Amino acid sequence: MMCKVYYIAINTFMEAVRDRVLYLLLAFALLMILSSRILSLLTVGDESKIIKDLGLSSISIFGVLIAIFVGIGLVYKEIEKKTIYTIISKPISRSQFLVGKYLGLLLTIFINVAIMSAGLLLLLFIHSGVWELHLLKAVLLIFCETIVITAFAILFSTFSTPMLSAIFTLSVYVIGHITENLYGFTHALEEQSVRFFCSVAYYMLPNLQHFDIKAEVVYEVPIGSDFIFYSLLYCLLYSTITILFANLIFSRRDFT
Amino acid sequence: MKRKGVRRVYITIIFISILLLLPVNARLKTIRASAPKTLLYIPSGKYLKVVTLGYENLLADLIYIWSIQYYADRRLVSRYRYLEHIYSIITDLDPAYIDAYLIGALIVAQEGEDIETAMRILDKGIEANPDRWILAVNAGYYAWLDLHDYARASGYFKKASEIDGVPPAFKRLFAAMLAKAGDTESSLRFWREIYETSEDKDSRRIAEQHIYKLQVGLDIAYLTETIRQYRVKRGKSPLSWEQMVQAGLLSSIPLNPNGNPYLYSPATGQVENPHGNFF
Repeated sequence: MMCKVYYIAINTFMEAVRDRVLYLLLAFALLMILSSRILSLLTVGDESKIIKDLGLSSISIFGVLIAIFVGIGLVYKEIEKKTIYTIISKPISRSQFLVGKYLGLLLTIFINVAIMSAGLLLLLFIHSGVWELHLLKAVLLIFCETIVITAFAILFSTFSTPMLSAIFTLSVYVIGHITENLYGFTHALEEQSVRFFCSVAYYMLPNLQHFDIKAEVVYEVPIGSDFIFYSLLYCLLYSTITILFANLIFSRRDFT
Repeated sequence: MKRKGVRRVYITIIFISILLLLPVNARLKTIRASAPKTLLYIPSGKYLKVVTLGYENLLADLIYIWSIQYYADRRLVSRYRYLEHIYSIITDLDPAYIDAYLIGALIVAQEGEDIETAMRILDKGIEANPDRWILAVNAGYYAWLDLHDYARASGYFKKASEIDGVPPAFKRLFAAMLAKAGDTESSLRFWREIYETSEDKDSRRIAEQHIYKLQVGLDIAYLTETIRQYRVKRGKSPLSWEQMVQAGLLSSIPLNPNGNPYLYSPATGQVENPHGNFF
């Protein structure tokens, strides 16, 4: 079973690597990281802070954009080009196909995030002469965020068009960063039913702030290994649930 | 032939448009430059934080860099009106951004000549970053050199002196401010503490000089008061220290920290240190 998933993943990776959008986004990301050096010259004070902030933000923004814009078309393209009929006629389950697609895209994003991180670390090394490897903690959690976002992109692409999937996934990304405020509402609101609704929404919606340790890493604030562990666990659980949902929807689709 | 004619017309229009574009562009630039630049709408940092989607530090950096360019533009009049608010946004977004507190305070103090606003910016920084002595030291300097409020300055230097890693010089500044504020005894106590706890030679030497100076000042004040008491009691000035000892106002002949007796002039009633210099 794993062998089939592996082949689909590798095939998805090869397919994604041929996608021009990917290179465009990667080039933009590297350009942004490089431009942080120019921007840092305009500041008064700690220049490396600007490079780190802009660099980590670029990795995060472009990681998510790659996840969305490559992820939304993966399943849809197979349906549109009718290649899905050939695939499902083979001894391969739909869930294997979907998980393979998901893992293939994650491999693509991982390589892209690694290239962007290497660019940032190299730039910082040229600037300050130090390998600031502690930034990799933030990069790890940025990758976790893209794992969750990719799962949503795949989920939406199983039942809607790329345009709508992009809108839905972007919405999840925005919501994921403001769910923390819902938790604040549960304490601030007086109406019991609204408080209950906010609490449910807070626990159901993804809280992407759990993957945001950019500020702590830049200021070298110690981050406990337990926090990293629970963030990784949260990522694993949330992405598993989302992919299972995607499987449920995909398995009900009629391709005959 | 007809097609060629159309092409020529197109090229002519393009050429004329480019020629027109240049002066229009220049005119727009002039209008924009002459118009007063004002900050039309500045949202609160707290609300901005919600919409940054986790990129609040990046936004803080961008506003900070923009603010440096904005406040460096000397053509803009009354540009300091919203400075506190702008730096409040930056520091609401990124409360650990030490440069923003320091530079915000510097701009408003040096360019805007508004020291109280500078102090408020630094106070916010001190509250948000109690482990960063540089903010308290800066506030201390503004209170000392610009406001000449030594008591307030000593408060900031005290705060700085209690933070780990503060250079000994700032501990000395706290003690010096106490003396300037008129609290000689507290100042003396703090200088003694510096003398006893400092490991570097320079700090100990400086502390020793201050202890000497403050001790002499305290001694002279005490002796002058004792002479006044003698005068009230006996109706005349004492002729020597011995008379004061006999009157029970002094336990022995008063000595300075070097062990030399203080000089007393019965004619003027003045008490002096036997040496012009401390050592």
